[in-house]
Amino acid sequence: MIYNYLKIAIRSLYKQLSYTAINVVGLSTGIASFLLIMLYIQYHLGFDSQIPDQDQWYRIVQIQQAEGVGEQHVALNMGPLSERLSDELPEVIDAVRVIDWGSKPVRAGNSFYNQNNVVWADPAVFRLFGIKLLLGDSSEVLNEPKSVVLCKTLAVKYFGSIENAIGQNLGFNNETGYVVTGIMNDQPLNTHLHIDMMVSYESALISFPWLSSWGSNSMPVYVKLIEGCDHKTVAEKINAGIMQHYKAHDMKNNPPLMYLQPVSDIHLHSNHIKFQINHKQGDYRLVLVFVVIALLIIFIACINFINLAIACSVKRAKEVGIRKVMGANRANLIYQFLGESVIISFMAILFALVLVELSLPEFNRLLDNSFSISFSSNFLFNIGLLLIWIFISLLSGIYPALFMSRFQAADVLKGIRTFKMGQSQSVSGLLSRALVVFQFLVAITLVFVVLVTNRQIHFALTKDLGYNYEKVLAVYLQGGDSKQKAALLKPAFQQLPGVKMVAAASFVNGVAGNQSTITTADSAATNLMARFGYVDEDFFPLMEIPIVAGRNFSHDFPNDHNQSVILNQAAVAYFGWDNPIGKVFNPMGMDTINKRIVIGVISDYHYYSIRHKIEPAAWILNPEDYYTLCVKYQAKDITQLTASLGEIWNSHYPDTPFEFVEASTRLKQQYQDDQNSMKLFTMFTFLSLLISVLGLYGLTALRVEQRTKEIGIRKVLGGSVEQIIRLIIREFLILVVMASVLAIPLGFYFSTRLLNQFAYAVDIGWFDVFAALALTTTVALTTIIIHARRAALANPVKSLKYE
Amino acid sequence: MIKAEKLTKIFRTDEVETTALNAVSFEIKRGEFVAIMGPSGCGKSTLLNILGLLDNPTTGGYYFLDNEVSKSTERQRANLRKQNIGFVFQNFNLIDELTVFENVELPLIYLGMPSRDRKKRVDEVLAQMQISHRAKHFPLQLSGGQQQRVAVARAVVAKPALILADEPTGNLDSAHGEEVMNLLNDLNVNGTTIIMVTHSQRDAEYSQRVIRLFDGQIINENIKKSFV
Repeated sequence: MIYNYLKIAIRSLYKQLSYTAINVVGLSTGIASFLLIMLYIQYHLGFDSQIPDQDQWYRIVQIQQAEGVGEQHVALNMGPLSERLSDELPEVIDAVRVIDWGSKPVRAGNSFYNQNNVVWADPAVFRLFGIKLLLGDSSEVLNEPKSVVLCKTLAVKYFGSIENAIGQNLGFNNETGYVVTGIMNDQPLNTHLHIDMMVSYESALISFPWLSSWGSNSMPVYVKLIEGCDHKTVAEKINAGIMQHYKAHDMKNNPPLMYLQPVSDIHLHSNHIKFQINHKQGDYRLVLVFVVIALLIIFIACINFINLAIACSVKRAKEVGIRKVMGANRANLIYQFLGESVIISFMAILFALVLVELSLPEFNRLLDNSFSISFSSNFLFNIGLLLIWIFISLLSGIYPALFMSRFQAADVLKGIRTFKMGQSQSVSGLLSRALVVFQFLVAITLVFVVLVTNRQIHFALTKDLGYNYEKVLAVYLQGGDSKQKAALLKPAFQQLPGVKMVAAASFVNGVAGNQSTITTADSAATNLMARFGYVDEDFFPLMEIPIVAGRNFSHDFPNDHNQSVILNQAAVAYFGWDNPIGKVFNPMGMDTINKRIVIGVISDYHYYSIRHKIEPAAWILNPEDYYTLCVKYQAKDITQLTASLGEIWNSHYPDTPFEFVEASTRLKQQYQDDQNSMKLFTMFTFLSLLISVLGLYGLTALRVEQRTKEIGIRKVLGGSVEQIIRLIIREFLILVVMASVLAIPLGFYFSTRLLNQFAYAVDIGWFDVFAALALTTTVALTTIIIHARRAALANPVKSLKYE
Repeated sequence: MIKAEKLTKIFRTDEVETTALNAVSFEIKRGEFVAIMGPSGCGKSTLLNILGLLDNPTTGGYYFLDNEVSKSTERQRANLRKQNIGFVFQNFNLIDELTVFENVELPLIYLGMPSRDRKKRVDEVLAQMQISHRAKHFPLQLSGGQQQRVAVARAVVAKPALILADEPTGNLDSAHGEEVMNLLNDLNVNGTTIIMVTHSQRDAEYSQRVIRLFDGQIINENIKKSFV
């Protein structure tokens, strides 16, 4: 019997080739989108899964009450904390400190490499990340200062083989004497802390002895708790007990409140954390959005199947009747129709896999990833495919199967039509209409949100950020001794033709990334949590940042480097000063000696993304902290300019690689994730609209076919082509209009939620509503008119004969 | 074999109530060939649907093979039907997507007969109906007469005790119509009970008894002398 079902299923699918094609194309597009999104979600959910005993590991996070900024969560901690935790809390069985050393120039033999993902770490890091050593003993390799563990790829790159690498010397900047003591496996890419090279934590203490103090808030600290232990209880103990050590160090301020964040939450649930190390950080909200989109797309594709099956049921009614007369019971027919949906779903899955394979390169390029379909190694994927098959077969097949198997043989054979979509009183007719409304509701809402977010991204990329970073190159002063490099290179760069101006700064955006409290020196002694920036006197003019009060740093004031500070308007606003010039601060930042006088106020500019409000910041002229030279150029061809800059660099520092980046490129990178998500979002929205339109196309065709006789009679009785087109359009346009009415508030709601993530956002206007409606209605209308016109122009004699 | 007691069938729509059959009673014995005649709309097909267990009467009793089936569920009716009744329709009602062989095979599939037995039986019937050479063709590739032969083959393949024919020659020319009537007659001679709805007096001549309906009621039962 199954063979018979298959046979008739395949034949009837073949017979109605165009509807089969619509079903298969719609479903396969839906499934392909679903699979791509699932790969993306699997990637995000798989983050840090290599960590053994993942449920026992936590990252310690502080809640700081920052004056002028408000409450902020910070996942960096003090050096001594980890030792105290291990010693004083029986619940803590392991603790690890890891400091991101960032990008470093490494000397291996006679070669230099710019090396990313270098960390200082405690030996316990092997236990935390489940890192396996290929050579060396994990309990020994990071015990001594200046000992280094390389990943396999680096060992081979630097020394030819892992065996050769052991015992070799490495140099960082000007420091030498580092020794390779171990080789580890290459670490997976989907981990929040990607490590290519580890240097013993003890080495960091040589260069930065202050890391041993309670004031060193600069490293993530992870702890492993005993099994079944409540992390909240441990956090309470830390706050009540351990932080007493902090109080002893800092008598003035209350210690921050600590809590433990499960490592499994780090990747997707850390958006609220301000300072942290989180490689390729994700956002659970985005994952959730894509899950919903994936389900909606699949559902929309299934709706096509359901609607087309119901619409085609008139044609299949005779078969149902005959089968019932021949002895088929309802179950037989349900199995048969379900069988057809199983076959269509299977075909759709095969096509979907081809579509996924074809689109993966572009998808990977968009997400800077390397997703692939692997039947052999991705067990979840295979299970997922099977579940999708079952789910889609049932979702799309069950209603048509129940509906068609209910036909009464006597009625069908007598020629009574059990169903017509136009008959609004029929349950199936209502369902079909409701499903079409739902499809367009989803499509219009998505289009609405896409239009708004596209405008927001455009706004972010083109907004006047308060400074002009166009035609600025950022040259990284790497390789140590940046002060000397800045002093030497700045005048040399300045001489080059095409260079307008050169300025030194901690980073191209003018801030250093760190933040600490500054205190006024007056009797009121007001505190403010401020960002720090280290710039020379040319930075603000180069970036065209206006000085709104007082003056800029100047060579004319030789004490500016140790006596002056410039604030932004946000800092001044916090203090509520009408005239901030001349106000005095206690020593700030790393300087513990000199009080600083406010000499100027600059206009607020967005040194970070417009996702965040501009925070109070203080700028100090401090050559020790210049790590970037900003080169403003007027040359059209920067190839020649960068070559000349490189020549100058190499003539002074032949051992250190010359590295630069366009400031605009670097600053726009902070919106790269937004842009990529946006592209994905747009792509899937387009697909959902396409699938909806495809369904509408098929449904209109069937509906027009069903109304052939009516159209013929109307024409015979004098109906004009326009009247008949209007008649058909009205039936479907009402549905699209209903969907539009429902979609507008939904679109507003979701767009507003999306924009809430940005401190500075575009306004949602009627333009968005109009554009979304115009786009979807035009597409829908065009689809309907194609069929309506054909039906209206047909010869009525033929139509009536056909019936 | 069949006993109808005051069978009534009323069709209701929102505003209209139509009585298609009005207290119809009769009996049909095994091996009879009965023709049901009457003008369009007199309730012939409604009666045939009830007799064929495709529909239930609104009121009245219907005994099929000594079972009272007027209140049977669809499943019970389907079971009785597939084992005992074959149908022949005016418009053939073959499934266009199945070949001749597959159409004829269908009732056997629903009876759960093993594939090898099915093939043997279908081959037999196709040979009997002289249509074996068309076994692999689809219905739309056949003439009307050939399609009706296939329909008759399908009706008899499960060796039913009763064949219900609804205007079996209505869509055929006279030569093909006669062929089909001869087939039905042969089946009746071999013991199959046949109930046939027809407009054609000529076809009714093949029957042993004619039941005449008018406005849902039996107005005349004419038993031929030869049969008495």
